Order: sequence, then C-alpha cells, then structure tokens
Amino acid sequence: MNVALVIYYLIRSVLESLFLFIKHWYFDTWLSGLVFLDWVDKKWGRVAYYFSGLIFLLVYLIWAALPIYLLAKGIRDYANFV
Amino acid sequence: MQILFKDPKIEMGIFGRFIVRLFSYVTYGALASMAVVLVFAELVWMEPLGWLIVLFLIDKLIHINSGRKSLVKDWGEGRINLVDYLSPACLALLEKMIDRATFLGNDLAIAFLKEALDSGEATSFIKDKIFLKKTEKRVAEYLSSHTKGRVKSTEEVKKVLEKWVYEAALAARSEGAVYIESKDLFLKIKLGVEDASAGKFLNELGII
Repeated sequence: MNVALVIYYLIRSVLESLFLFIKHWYFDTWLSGLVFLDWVDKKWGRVAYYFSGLIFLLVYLIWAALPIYLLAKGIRDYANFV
Repeated sequence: MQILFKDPKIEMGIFGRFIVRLFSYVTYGALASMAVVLVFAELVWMEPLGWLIVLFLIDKLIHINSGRKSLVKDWGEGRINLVDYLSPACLALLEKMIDRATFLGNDLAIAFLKEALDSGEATSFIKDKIFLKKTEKRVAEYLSSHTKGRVKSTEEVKKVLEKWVYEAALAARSEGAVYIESKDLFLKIKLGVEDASAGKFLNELGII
C-alpha cells in the first residue's frame, strides 16, 4: 500500500470538499441567478428583469453572508465563552 | 486531444482504497453526528458551527451524484482525464472492478457485471427483472467455477479501462449525458472482455 498516496488523496479530498462547498454556495448560485434573470428578461421584459435583479441581489447578499455569519458568530461566542 | 485515465484512488491498490473508503464513511458519519450535537447543544457558541456543518452536508447531499467535470460543459481539446467525467456511482463501481481484477483475477467485464448487480446499478441497464435475476444467478455460477483467474496488474487493467471508458464517454456524449454512467459502460462491455471464456459466457447470456 502506498501510504504517501493515500495520505495525499485524503488531504486532497478534504480540500476539494471545502473548495466545492464554496464554489456551489457562491459561484454556482450566482450563475444560476444570472440564468434566471436572463429568462425573466426574455419572458417579461426589462422592467421585470431589473425588479427581479434587485430582489435577487438582496437575496444573494443574505445567502452569501450566511456561512460567514455562522462562522463569525461561533468564533465570537466561543471567545466570549472562554 | 490527450486522453488520460488517472486517479490516485486507482493507483493506490486495494488496501489503500479500503482505507480511503473507511475514512470517508467515518468522517461523514462523525460530521453528521457533530452537526446534530452542536445544533442542539446548550452552549451558545456551538449552535452556529453546527448549522454551518449542516449547510456543508446539505450541499454534499445535493451534489452526491455529480462528477468532477461535465461531458457537456467541460469536454474539449487538450488533456482529458476520463476519471473526472465518471459519476460517483460509476467510479465506485470501477474501483471495485479493479479490486476484483487485481486481487481475484476476474475478467473486467464479468467484474463489472458482478459489481453492478451487487450494488443495484445493473437496474439502470437491465430493465427486465426476470433477465436481471437470471444474469445474477449465471454470473455467480460463472465466478464460482472460474476462481483461478490470472491476477492482473493495475497497469494492465488501466489500459483496458482507458479504451472502455473512452468509448463509453463518447456514447454518453452522443446522448447528451452529463456524466459517464454504468449504463454507458454496459453499452461498450465488449471492450472489457479479456478472457475467451468470459467472452463466450457473455455471448451465451446474450449480452454481447
């Protein structure tokens, strides 16, 4: 058994999982939103596009902030606890 | 276009793959337990971290059937590593096939059928339940009567798999599939046949 290869693969898997979580949460969601807005534009025109765009931006900001908020709150509460 | 069939999990051998699988199961089990414990913990600082783990696990669940790269979006010129385009279920199947071929000396095509039948993947390409049961029985009988197969090296197996998976990838792409699935490998199962007896057996079964 190639121990170095197993350790390399395990470390790579962990880092890949974290990277994929960030990619799905931030980039794929943004891209999906743009595709949705494009569909709204074609279906209902520019006014609906801008209105939907504004709502999407607000929702996306909350979405993007959520993991950071949870992490920051956990660390802050832990610091207060200690 | 340079075609590769490369992955550390394929190179590492049967015991290495076992360790990696064990580590994955234990890690995800521990994460799920940790998430539940942290979310319902009395200490204030534990709850947000628990929810963060929940978000991570939900994301993992949503993408449980996603491969690393898409046949539709990412297939192009340059270096193509076929392993990146396999669905996770198909990659798991391939790993077990390689274990069978390198440890037990099973023919790759027979190993594929056996592992697909055991894991339930075979239902995606054998729809007839009666034929499925018959195949299961015949494959088990074949393997019990062919126990002393020639044990293959990882390199030998990789050479066969490279061609087989490449043809399966082309078949999957022609149907607009996003990842290479086990049904695509089944379509090209003839490329996995190495032993004459295995070829004859599959012919009798009506598969090739």
